Amino acid sequence: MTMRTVHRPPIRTPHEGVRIGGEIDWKIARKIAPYFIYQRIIFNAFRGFLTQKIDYGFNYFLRRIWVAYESSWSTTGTWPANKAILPNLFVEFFDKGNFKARQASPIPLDLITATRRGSIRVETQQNGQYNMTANAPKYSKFLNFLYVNGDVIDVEITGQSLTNQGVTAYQPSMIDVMLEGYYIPDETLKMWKGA
Amino acid sequence: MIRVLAKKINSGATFAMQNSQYSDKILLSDTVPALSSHLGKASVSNLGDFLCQHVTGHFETLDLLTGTSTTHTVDDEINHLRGQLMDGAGNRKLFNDYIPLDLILSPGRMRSVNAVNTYAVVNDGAAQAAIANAAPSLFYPFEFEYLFSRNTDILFDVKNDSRNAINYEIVFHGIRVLGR
Repeated sequence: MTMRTVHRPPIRTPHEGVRIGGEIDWKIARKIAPYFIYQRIIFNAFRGFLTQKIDYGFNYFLRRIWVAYESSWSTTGTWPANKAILPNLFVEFFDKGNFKARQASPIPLDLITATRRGSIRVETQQNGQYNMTANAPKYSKFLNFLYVNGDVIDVEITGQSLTNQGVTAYQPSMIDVMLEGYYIPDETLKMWKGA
Repeated sequence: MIRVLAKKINSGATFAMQNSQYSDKILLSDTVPALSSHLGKASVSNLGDFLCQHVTGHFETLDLLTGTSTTHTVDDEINHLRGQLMDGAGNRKLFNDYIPLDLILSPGRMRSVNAVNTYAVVNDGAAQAAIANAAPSLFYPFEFEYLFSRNTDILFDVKNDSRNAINYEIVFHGIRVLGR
């Protein structure tokens, strides 16, 4: 028995909708919408996850990842990030649907995105111990991963502890992760073809 | 840019295109009350559709500091705002959750004239605040490609966890398209 070849139209990226110096391709531009996925990862046991189910009917074009972490830890000692020491973190991207990893091994987080102190304050303990000094996005490498509809984005962050003042090993207890990407309709589906 | 300079510009064709689509910017400016939320709004006028390409923005980082004699508005350099962006047409949400503003806006935090520690140290009994640091000076407009229809509203629902009202401003950079 031979495999049947299913014709699929090419998946267009958001940037194909715009031609600098030319006219906008409205057919493409009208269908694509940015969708930013944010999650605060409570980071314990040196491992944290961001998972997001892709809505049915859409593919998700993951453009970049942005990360921020808290700048101070506790009254018993200052977490090294306060001294601008980079947390030693690694990131892996998986397609949950087919258990496929998108890299051969975990990638140091600071080598694909400008990790930084920042993001919103929370006070899970007294005296605002999770103070996150506001900072600005700097730069992040383009990933351009495409997740097909119905799949689950799985981003796994693992951390190596940093020794703080020789007392206890710490990792950032909270990390803010945001995925910058676009929903692109899967035009092979009947739902996009009208009646 | 180099390509543009290296080529002879066809002014007739360029004008013809510019008459129907040109670079435009839309400003969304709002104040979020203390410990509350507010729906900021910017209108895409009837002029034409707006294809957004980038966003930039800044916000204050204010909070209240209670002293012995009075309460001070200080710049604590901590982001207190998080927001959900929506296309008014159909209330389509463009974020999955409320995202801290310092994750999406550049240059981000700005030094505020409304804070007393912008100019001097606050020293009021136990309440003390050093002079606020300078704001980040890097500027990287955030990529954000979305087509807003004419007559729609760009909505930004922002929550503020500070005890002080906070201002923010966002500029949507893009292309306005007339006559469609």
